[in-house]
Amino acid sequence: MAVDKKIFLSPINENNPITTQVLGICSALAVTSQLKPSIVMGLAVIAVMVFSNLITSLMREYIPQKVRIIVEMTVVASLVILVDQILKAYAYQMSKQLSVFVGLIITNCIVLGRIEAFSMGNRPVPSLVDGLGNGLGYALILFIVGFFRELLGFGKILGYQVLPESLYAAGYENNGLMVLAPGAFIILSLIIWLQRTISGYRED
Amino acid sequence: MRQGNAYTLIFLAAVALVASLVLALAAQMLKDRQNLLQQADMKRNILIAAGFMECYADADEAKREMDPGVCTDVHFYFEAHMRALLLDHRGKIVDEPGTRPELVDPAREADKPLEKRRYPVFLRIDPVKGKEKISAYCIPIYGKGLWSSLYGYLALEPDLNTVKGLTFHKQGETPGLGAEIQSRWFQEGFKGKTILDKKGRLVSITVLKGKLDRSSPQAAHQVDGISGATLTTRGVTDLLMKSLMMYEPYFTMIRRGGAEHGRR
Repeated sequence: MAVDKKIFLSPINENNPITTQVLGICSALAVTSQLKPSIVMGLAVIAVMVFSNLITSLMREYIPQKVRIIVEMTVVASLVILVDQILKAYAYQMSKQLSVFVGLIITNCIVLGRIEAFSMGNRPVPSLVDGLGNGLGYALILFIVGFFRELLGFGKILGYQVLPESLYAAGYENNGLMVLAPGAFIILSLIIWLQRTISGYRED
Repeated sequence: MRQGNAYTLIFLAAVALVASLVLALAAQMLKDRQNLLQQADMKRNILIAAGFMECYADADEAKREMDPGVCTDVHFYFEAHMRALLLDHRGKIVDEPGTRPELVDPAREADKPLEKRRYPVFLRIDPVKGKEKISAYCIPIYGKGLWSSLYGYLALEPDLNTVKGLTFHKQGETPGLGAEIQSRWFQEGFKGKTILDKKGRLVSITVLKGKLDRSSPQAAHQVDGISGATLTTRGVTDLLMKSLMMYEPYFTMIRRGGAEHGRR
């Protein structure tokens, strides 16, 4: 069975869940003040999306229509708790830093959105690819925002100092605004602007 | 609709059963590891406050995750060098083998009736000429910052007046502003400060708004503030006073030379 390449590629670029559909903004602002938590958060969302899409797609013929949202939420919530437990066991400091935002993946509109829009009406393999594509599309934006916020806000990348001391000696200062949520807003809107200029997307 | 109510109910029950089985299994399998990491993290913070380690959150960004080997080391080190005690609200040592002092949650204790509250103290024991000598008293500190609850440890020298160290190990303040309470420069500022005035009354330590004026008569009880984090630092000032007040009965007893340092 051939899977359409577009299912995978479109959510990464022209149909990106964050920049085009403007979903999942809450966590994109909250966890991106440094690159490392952004990466972990991105991976967590990818894992949840891939498996929730796959599982709901496998069950789609059997889920009673009346209660389908309940079943979908049960699947998503279980997966998120699983991810949270694994983080606590293998990356305790990171899970302390991400705190409630891992749990809040449950309420990330992208997850339920893709289940409802895609995996409930498609076969398991394309659904899995769709989850992977959308998760990557989300994670990619998080990486970019996290990269620039840490660089401009702390002068570091992944905790390592990258801006040389001589720059600070010459009067350069870290930008405190980048550390706060407004900094994420500014970077995110610049990305949206750039991406929409390239793809030519127009909102109706 | 082809499915009846009975089908719907059975389907939901099956989904719930499978989900809860999977989660229970995962929780059971990961529990030991989680406890190990969590306790090692707390013990490490106690050790840092008591002056053993020099790894602060910001200084060791890349090395913050601990593997099981390091955790075991931390546990052994803690067992070898620290002695934990439990106190009641009057500062008397209580013997409760069922309660682990390092697991006492100050937030939960505050909800209990006064007589039932337990206050852990961690003593740093150093061997001096074959004898055991207490070289630090470490207490948990807890209170509210701007957005979140702050948890940490404060260690005092054996005179129970001079600060030996301070850490915050759990906080959810604004990164770059309030979260600076976890940074090295802020925590270093507390070292050597005193919590008692000349008459021996508890004045605690105040985090200033702005820089410390070293010529001020109060300078021994004050530290530099964090610009842009007035509410967080005000919370730190409050929680230090509140936490020290809770231990005042015990400390007063020791200062008078009258308390036993019971064994665990």
